[in-house]
Amino acid sequence: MDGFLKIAPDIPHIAAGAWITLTLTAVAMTIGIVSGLVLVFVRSSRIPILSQAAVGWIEFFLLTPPLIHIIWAYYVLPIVTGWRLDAITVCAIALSASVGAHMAEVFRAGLQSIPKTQHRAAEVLGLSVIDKYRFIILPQTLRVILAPSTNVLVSLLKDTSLAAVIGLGEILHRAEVAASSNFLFLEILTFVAVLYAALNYPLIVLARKLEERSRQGFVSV
Amino acid sequence: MKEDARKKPFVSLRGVHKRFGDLLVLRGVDLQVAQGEVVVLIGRSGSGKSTLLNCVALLEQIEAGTIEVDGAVVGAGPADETALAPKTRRREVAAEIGMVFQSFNLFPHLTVLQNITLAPRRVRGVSSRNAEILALELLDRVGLREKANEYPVKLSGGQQQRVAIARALAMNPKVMLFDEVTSALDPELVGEVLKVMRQLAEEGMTMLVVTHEMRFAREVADRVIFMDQGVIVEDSAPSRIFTNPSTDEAARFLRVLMDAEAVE
Repeated sequence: MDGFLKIAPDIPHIAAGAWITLTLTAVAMTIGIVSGLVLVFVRSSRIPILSQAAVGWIEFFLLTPPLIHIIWAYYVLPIVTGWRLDAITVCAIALSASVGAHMAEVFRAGLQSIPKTQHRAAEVLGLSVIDKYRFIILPQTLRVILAPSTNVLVSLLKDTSLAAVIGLGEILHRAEVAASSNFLFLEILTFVAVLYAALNYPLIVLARKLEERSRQGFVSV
Repeated sequence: MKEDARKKPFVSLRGVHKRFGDLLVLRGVDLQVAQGEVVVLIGRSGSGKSTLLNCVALLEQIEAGTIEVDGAVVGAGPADETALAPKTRRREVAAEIGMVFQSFNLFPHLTVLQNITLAPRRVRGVSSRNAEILALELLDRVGLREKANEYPVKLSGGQQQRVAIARALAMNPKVMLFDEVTSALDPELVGEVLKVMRQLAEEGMTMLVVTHEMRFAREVADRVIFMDQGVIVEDSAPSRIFTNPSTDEAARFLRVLMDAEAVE
């Protein structure tokens, strides 16, 4: 128990890393959602090369770990292309790509879960394709994807800790630096785990609230 | 007036073929429906009745033949593509066709009122106010005005189906297609839906109705059509088909249905 008192002086500095963690999460989630939508759209293209390219992109980022993308973009890219990106840019790009692929799958599953009969009912009323999606299909999809999207967001927030490997001063990196000088690894890493949980918990609560609210008007099948 | 209209059919199918993969569902259907006529389609499941309605509703692309509605060729197989009316005209006609489905298909995230007003507002450009006035009138007609602000999930099947009918009527259709609209309903709810349909028929709506409700067919239909394996086998007045069907298939099918009704 002593150890936990001894790390008190380090806590403010470590906790301040949360700003970088949260910024990175917000940026990667935003870009990920937009790129996920674009990927779903391109994937459903009638031009085979486009849809195949989208599938290839999605699967590459689903099947490979974001840690590799971060290391690759930070250390290998400069050697190959001569561009050197700073650590936060590298992390933002790598995590956005991963979130984009996951969100593309979430969107696809959500759209497929809307029964074909809803499309037919909208078509037979004469709604244009854009109106059909805007008023009928997407609002229903949104409710379906709320829970899986929250999962992506929660994973993302935890995955920002990968940025520590290239020395970005987010929570985990600051903790490692602190621990390597006072050797209180157990105490500091335990504190870090609690900090991540505290950051993620409101997201889960919010998602549950939204889900409850959106259940209104829905047939429970 | 009705005799004059009969000369020029409002809905006209010629040699319509439709396949799903290897399965040929419609194998050359010819059908003329005059304005104000109520035509009931009967037949076993898989005989192509529902597919026929979907083709008339322009929900399916046909492989051969032509579909003409209100004087415009709105559907054609590749061979007759040149006969198709211009796209804008086809869209106009499509909006004149109302359809009600077996599974209601109300939009679950919208209230009853929003379900009815959406298409008039977005497709016809009616103001929200006028669309609501129209929707409330229609809800009155189907006896559900007090449910205007409910979500579909709060309604019984019969109520949902009556809202679906009101939603279709809000587009002021010239022909209404009913695809087994009472089949998913509990028996005690069937009557309220049939009553609304009967009213519509009396008001002179052109109707194509797929149903197993033989009493409705007998009392409301001008013609009853029996389909078997993708073709029309028999097309006659209800008085005739129920008492003296001209084909064995129709006779056998009707006997089974009548027996079932007698048991009920």
